[in-house]
Amino acid sequence: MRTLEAIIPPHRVTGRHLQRVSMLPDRNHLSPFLRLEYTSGKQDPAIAPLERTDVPLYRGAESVTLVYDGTLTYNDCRDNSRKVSPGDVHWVTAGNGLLHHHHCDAGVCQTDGIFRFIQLQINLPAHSKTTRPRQQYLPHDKIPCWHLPEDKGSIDVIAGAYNDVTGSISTFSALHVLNARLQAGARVGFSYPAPFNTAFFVLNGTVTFNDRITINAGQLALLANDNPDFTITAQEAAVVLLLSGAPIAEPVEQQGPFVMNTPEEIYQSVRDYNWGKYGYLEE
Amino acid sequence: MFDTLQSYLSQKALVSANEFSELLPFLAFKQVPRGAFLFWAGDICHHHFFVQKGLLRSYTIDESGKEHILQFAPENWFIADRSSYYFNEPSAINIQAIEDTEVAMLEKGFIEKALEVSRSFRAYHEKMLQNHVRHQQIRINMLLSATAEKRYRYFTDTYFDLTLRVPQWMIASYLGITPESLSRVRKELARRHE
Repeated sequence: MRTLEAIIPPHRVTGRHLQRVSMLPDRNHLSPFLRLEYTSGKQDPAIAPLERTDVPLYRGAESVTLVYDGTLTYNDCRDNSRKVSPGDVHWVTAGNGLLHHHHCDAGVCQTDGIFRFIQLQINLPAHSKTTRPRQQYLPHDKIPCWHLPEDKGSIDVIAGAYNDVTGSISTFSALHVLNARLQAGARVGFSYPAPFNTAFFVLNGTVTFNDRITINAGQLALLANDNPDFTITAQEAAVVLLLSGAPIAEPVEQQGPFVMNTPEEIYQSVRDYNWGKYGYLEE
Repeated sequence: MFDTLQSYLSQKALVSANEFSELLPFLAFKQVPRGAFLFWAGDICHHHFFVQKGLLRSYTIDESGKEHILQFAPENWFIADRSSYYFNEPSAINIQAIEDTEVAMLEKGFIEKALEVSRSFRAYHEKMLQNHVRHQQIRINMLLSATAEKRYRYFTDTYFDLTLRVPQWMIASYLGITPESLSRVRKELARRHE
């Protein structure tokens, strides 16, 4: 069975109203996944009705937003705009240059103000860093889903595959992103090639890894690259985000919203930004 | 605690480790959380501040309450109110952290001691002063005569990646233009590259 390498605590918590927890202190831990940020809390409209919610990526990587509560509003420099509602997934490929951001939706701020969402940063391999920008939007009811027997829950297959269900998101490297909603007692098995970097983040509830190790809400379990198979069992109703992907064995240079392979490429990316080559987006 | 400053002075002013150790009594370390103030207008400035990590801004507030940004200081930059420091008069500027910041505070005797213990520091200090005056002249000329686009381009040449760390309204304040004018400049630059 695949073993547990570490339980990673949050390494950075920011935000006065919406608390943002950053789960991947070392970007090499989980290549191609660079960063996982979990934001939750109640937004006070009197203080910051349109708080920026993400650290966007403008070149060389992808930004994935999964909303659990609240609604976010997306805008980019190509005049694209959309709402991302609970259960939806918004997969943005910055490629060779796209200015974009998500805001907490003003309507939600003025009602209950509750927000809960995850944002992933995913690296692109060198040969795809200059791909054309694109966005893939999956409303919740269009996400392929695998149902556990006896109504024990379901697994949304956002990217990659689980059993005979294949996700509809197109990716630039081999990876899997699954969102499991498990009832108490549900036990599910997973299998990915041992070299795939694999981890899961528990949003709600408590689960047991390989029937032995308890992982609590708010913890990220980083798995070893030793064996393919492992199990997750829900001790109580739980929501778990599972990530697995083939590592991109290339150097990573990141400065702010740019993820490239060399310092020279970063320099050029910032220069292009300053000169307006990605277009314009109002702050 | 002062590794960044030591490395900077070693590279730029050829200050040796032994020479730097003689300067340690004139140094203090301070952490300034994002949004907090390092220095307030009305006080007398007794230090030069060297940014080891993070980002500071200095600014004044006019009679109508409007802010005017004089300088940004990212990593490896010095910032101070020289008028207040050298003439012992109350300062008109505030210095505030834009990001969580760590500074080395150079006390009054630091520069005199550095001039005494390091011959190479004298040349560096002279050059730094001349460079400071040069930039002030360019900045005055820009504010008097340059177009908004020329000012923005000079800003990106000087600070390069601060466009990613500083909100647009602060850049506009530094350039002496309105945020709307800065938006127009950036839109125009983007339009030319379509």
